[in-house]
Amino acid sequence: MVVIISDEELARQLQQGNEIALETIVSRYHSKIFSYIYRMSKNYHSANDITQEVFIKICRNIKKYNPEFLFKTWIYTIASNTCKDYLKSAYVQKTIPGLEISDNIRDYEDTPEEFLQKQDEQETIIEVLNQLGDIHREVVVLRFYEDLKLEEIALVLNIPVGTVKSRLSNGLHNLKKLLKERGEELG
Amino acid sequence: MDKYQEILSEIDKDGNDKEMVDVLNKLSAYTVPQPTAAMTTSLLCNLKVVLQENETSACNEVPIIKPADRVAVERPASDSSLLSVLRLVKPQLDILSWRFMMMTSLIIFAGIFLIKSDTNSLIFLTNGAPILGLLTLFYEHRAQLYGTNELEASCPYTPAQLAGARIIVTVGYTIIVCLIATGMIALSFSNMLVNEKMLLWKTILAWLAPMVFFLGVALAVSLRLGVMYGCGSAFFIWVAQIVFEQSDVGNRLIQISLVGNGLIQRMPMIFLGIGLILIAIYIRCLRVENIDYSQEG
Repeated sequence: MVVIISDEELARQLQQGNEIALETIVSRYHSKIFSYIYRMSKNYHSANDITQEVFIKICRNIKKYNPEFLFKTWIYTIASNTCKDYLKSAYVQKTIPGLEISDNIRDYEDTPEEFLQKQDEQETIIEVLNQLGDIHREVVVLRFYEDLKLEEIALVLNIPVGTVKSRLSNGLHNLKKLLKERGEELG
Repeated sequence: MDKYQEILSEIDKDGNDKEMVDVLNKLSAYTVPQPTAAMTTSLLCNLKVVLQENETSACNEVPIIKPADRVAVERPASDSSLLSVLRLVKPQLDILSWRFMMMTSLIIFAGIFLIKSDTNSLIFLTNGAPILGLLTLFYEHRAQLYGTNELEASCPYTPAQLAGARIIVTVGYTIIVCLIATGMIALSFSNMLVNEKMLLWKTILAWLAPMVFFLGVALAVSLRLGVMYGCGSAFFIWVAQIVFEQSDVGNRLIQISLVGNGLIQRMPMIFLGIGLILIAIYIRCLRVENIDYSQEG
């Protein structure tokens, strides 16, 4: 019988310096946090750097974590704050990161036409997401891509659930509007 | 599809809203690259080192702070120690060169001599004191233009102590110059002291309040944007105030404030209060920023 240890239990073990717990946490969250940060920072290398910083902060501050609270929201709070700090930094303000269309969307069974179509779709959605305000994009990313519940997003962003709901609603409506403005067929 | 319906119900939309479903479909087309195995391995190696560092430093319970601030936090002297701030005043005073002091005080005194009228001299001083204060503040912090923040952060005093000493120098120098100027106005051109005994403190308050207010604004803005932009924004507010004073309404208000009674007369007091609060916030923020970095995350 396989017993799945909860994140909170792993965090408790990490507080005692358990390296296996650290490896498990990294295996569970590295990709998730990287994807979240990538969608927010729009740059592969920056996403890697910020993800490293997030995990280092987690390790350094693990003793301050209270296992009575969800570990998931704690880790996303750190990721969100670190990402915001990075985006506010003078370096980012001066250099506008270019859009990186990743190679991972390439499915080698695709014909060149299908690949180009997928790339177009991806470019479109990246551009409209970038046109969303930061506060809306953040909620849409956390809800849609990271699968966080509204209550969890509220804890991560330290805002009321009602605000999360309205930001999600406004974000999706704005996305619809932006897609229509670009001539995308909806419905 | 369950996920879509869940999201749509959260935003009070019907699950059959085809447009919204299409938006969600488009969103799902956005896939991101995944970190490579090498990146995960490298991350784990780094984290294990951090974990070991945690273990070795556990007995010390050193908070996680910027390296530059570490020295500041470990200093034995209390941040709020007035003595340590006063000890800093002398070296900070040396930053104001005698040329700067000569030039600025000369401009103020010459202005009063050239105007030769009690009310106009007072208006000149009221408008000149904030600029003198802002200039002095900027001159005190001019090292920031040369990117010496890192050096300051590693010096044996905390930013709050340095700020306190600089505010004492800035306010002190401006007050001394303006007090001399007030004396000149009162003794040379005016019979204010003879006719109205209460007017001397009103005269002092007339330039002290805007000076402290504009310094407060500059310092508060500098918390976010640096001293240069702080002084710049305070200067723009000062210009706006001058423009307002030139208007009929502004001119009438000045006359009322000089001779009238009521709320308008309390305005300097209010501005003085706001200025002092802003300066206190500035110092408080510097203290918190310096010490409480461990709470991040």
